[in-house]
Amino acid sequence: MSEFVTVTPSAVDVRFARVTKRYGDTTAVKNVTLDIPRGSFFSLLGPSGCGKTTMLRLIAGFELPDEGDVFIRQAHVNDIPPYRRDFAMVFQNFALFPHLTVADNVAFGLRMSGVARAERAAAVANALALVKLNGFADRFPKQLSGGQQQRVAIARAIVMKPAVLLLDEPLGALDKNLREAMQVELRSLQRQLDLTMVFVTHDQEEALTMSDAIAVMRNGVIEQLGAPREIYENPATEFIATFLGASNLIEATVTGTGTGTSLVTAECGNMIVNGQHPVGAKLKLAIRPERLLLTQAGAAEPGMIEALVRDVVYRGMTAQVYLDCGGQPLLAFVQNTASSALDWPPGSRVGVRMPAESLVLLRDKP
Amino acid sequence: MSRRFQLTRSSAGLALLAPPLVLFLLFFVAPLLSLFWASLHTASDNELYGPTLTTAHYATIVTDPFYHTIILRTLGTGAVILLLCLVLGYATAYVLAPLPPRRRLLLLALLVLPLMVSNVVRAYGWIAILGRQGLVNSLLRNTGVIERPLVLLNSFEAVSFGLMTILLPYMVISVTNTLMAIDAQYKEAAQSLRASPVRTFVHVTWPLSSPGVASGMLLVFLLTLSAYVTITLLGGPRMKLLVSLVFDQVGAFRWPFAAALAFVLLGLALAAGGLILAILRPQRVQGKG
Repeated sequence: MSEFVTVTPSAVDVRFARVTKRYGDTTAVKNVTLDIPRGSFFSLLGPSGCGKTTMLRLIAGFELPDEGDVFIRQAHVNDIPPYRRDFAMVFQNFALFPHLTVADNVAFGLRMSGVARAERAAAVANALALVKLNGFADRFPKQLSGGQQQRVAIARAIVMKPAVLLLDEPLGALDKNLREAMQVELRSLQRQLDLTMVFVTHDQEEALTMSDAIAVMRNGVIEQLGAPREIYENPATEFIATFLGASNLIEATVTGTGTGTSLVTAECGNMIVNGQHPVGAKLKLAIRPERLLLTQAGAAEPGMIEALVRDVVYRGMTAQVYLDCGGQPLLAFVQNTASSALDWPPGSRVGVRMPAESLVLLRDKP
Repeated sequence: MSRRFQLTRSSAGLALLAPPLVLFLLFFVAPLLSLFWASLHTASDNELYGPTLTTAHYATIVTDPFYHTIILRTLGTGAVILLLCLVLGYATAYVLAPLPPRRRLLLLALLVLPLMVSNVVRAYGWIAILGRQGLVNSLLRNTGVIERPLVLLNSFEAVSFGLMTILLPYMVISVTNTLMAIDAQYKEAAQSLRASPVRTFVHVTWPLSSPGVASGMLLVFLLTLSAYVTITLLGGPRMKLLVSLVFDQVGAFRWPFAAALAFVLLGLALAAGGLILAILRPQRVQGKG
């Protein structure tokens, strides 16, 4: 048997130890090591084909790793078939059994586990109450709306009291309003039951609003792992800076150093970044559009540049201001307060302040 | 606006339905009714049926043990063929359904190929294999396994086997289609809910495949009831089924009695069809109980 990382009896519900999964010539998951803490809402986020769904299927046992080991709680599960693993799953299209009633769908797992009839009925009633579907027990899935089917799928999974609940883009099939309502409900259910949930999504907003931790995946590797705020505010790479929300990317050269700060020069002008870097080093920086502060043009101060307003898109609560700064395009989001972005019509010049703490140094080399 | 649209739609539907409906009424329902009328009359030497109303034909079928034997034999043959086709057909379909499309198509084509040979030709083929001087007997005799030829033809087994080989593809195609249509997520969902592969089959795959199984079973059973050539050639004078009697009665110009037998056959077909649907409940896959 291969040597694997010792599993401490800590509060880890799922562990990947150097796991690799290949499909023919493509590697879906590359040497991934990951701990998913107990009781957390953990999101695997990334574009399609990044390996996030494969990760979920590796936990379930629908796929087996080519290398490395998977653990659920303390159990090494590589050689354990799906039906003996301690997990439950909510599928993308719900996968409710069409020939069974809501109650029979929810009872299915308990029945397969040999739970007695009376106990089963009580647990089913309880689970249906949790997802607010009392009174729907005798309906068939076809007779329910998409949102109700979703709730049945969740009830069918949580009634199993699994070590980990896997969710494969479960909200993708719902319309926007329903999706937002389900996000809140799923999250409160997770807290209420203190369940470990592993949530696969390509929707960055969904991941940001729901998760305790997010693993952003790309090409089979975890590119960054952290709390939503950390990932949004300190993206490690250009990919993350642009996949999660929007970012302005700036390539700059260090032209001077101060104490704990450096002066850098980019196409659009000079700015100050945190951290001491050797003069001449090339840096790749990102700044969120809402962190650009627009002021009157002309006031010269360090860390401030001037730009030409190309276009202003009114979005209600905010306005998007498209800027051109010495050939470098910049995007700024401006709150529509009393002094609105509309004060800067296209063609006018505007001062742009980029606070050092808002300029994030990316890992990528320019 | 929408009312008008619905109106045009339903009238278009009616226009499309009208020709087959007329044909159906004219050439199926009307003759069936007249045949039923004939079965309630005495026989006649020069007419389709005589002038006197009678239920004697049905009474004969119900009371005469000879007809009981034939009816039971017909049902028995049907049941055996049905069971064989179900087990072999389902197993074949279970292997075929998950194959890549090209290979599945190729194998299905191979399976259907024998259907392109006439039943008459195929029955003679079986005679060549199973007859007194046939392939099986000469092989066994030349190798010294037996001394006298076995009687393989003109038996229940020969008829069942012959019909089974003809009807098996209908079951395979029907079940393969239904298995292919089952979303793989259902099986994964069952396994995520602690169902072993066997229980996944029993509780999920089997019920979800019931529409294909039901249509396959209906096809096989109804085709068994109406098969004639295979039964005559492989069953001979000893292995007569209901359909053979209908033919014999027609040959003897006893039309009313032949008609009565035909309605018994129809009754059996309807009853068996109803039974198959009642047991398999294919409509439950649509989530309607």
